[in-house]
Amino acid sequence: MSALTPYWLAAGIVFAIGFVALIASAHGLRKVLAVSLMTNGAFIFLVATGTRGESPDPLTHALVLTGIVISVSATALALVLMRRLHEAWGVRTLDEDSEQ
Amino acid sequence: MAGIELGAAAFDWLLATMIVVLAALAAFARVLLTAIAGLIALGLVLAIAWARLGAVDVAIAEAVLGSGVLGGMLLKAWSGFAASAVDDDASMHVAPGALVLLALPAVLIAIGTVYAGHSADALGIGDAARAAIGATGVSHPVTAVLLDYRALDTLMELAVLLVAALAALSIGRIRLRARAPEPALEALLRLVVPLLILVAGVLLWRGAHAPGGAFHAGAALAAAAILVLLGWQQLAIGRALAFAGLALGVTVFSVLGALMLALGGLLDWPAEHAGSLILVVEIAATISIAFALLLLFAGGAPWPRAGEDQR
Amino acid sequence: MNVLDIVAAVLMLTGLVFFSAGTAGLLRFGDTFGRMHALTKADNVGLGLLVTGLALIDGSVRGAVELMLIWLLVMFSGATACYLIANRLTREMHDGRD
Repeated sequence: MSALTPYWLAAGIVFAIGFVALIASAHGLRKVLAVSLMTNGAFIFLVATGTRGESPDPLTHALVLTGIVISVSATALALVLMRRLHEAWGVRTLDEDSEQ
Repeated sequence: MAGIELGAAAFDWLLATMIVVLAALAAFARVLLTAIAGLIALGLVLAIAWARLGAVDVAIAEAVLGSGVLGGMLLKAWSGFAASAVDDDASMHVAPGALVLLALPAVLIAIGTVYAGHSADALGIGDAARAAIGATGVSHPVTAVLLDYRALDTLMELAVLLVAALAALSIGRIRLRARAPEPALEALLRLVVPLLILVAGVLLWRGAHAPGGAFHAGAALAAAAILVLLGWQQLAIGRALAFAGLALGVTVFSVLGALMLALGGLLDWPAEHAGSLILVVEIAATISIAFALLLLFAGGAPWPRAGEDQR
Repeated sequence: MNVLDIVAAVLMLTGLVFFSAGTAGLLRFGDTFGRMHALTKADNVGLGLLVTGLALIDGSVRGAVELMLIWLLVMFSGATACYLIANRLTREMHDGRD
């Protein structure tokens, strides 16, 4: 049990919550939220990794910074795609037998 | 003092609990708007956690990007769905029995993460990074990693942002609704937008010696532009300006990096000019990041397409 | 732990009490107007107390000015957001009656 244990636990649990929600959710917007949760779980793990040792590790911080930017842009593109699907065909879920 | 250590540990556990609770809210709330609000709040609590763990750059970026810009995008997407007068689909599309089966790998993931965290050794790259920082032209370690040691990664990241913005421009349709003027909102924006632009400039300049840099500055600029878009429902950007702004960062970065082939290696800034070169690259990157995030938020091209009208 | 630290701690704890009162109002009041009223007023005062405590701990003039500026900005944007929501609600209520 180190000083970072709460953050290891948070990282794993948040990632697992996002994983379950991604598979279980039907609505497209909820799937986007779930992927964002998995990303955040990975970030918590990375930053906590960079905190061990004498002084903070700038490499993991730079990795997470890059990750945040890329995750936001990928989420934005996913939202644009879903918006277009919804406008063109009224689709809100990704099921094959959803309403047309 | 043991009392302070106990208090610090309690604070860490409190933060971790809040993070897990907000994540559960964002994943499983019945009402979709509550889930989105949970994710926005999670971004801010994570920013506190990053600051607590000593990652101040990440904290600023999480607050601006992961909570501010992302929250705005999610709320905009939600309002697009809500306007169709059908309530959001909160149902799970796997059976409850299958959900229990899913819980098993989830628990294993959680346990595995805790085990991995405890058993890995400290990396120790930080000391080597700090030792060599004299030749990088900047004094802040994270900026040195982003724009000198791992400059290629940052160039690729700018390219990813550019591709995402281009995809949004081609796929999406922008929706601008003229509405009645709101004097209170306009008064607030007239105060806040210039301040945000100033904050962006400060963040960009401070990136060399303190937490900050091109990404934070670009995100703050994008936030200012998004506020203008939301407040006045106008986006007066033509095709030429948009493409020039989007391409500027990657172009300047790769041209300067290629020029370095003559002096040493690709993207290998020489020690005596590294500071100025990095500043030029960061300015170009800030502009591009701002354009990309703004267009990703707008969700489409603000100029009329051939053969279609705007509505 | 000198006097300044104790005063700052008392100020910040009082600020937390105000935040809790605002959240209690958010959860307990029946309609949206009452909730916004409680939240905006209590959170602004709570933030002001928090900011004053932090400025005392920081000790520099520049830090105090920056923190005060943050408090002013939060008050402005909070008040405007509260007004916008209330305006929208009032319009919806009147449209419903027509």
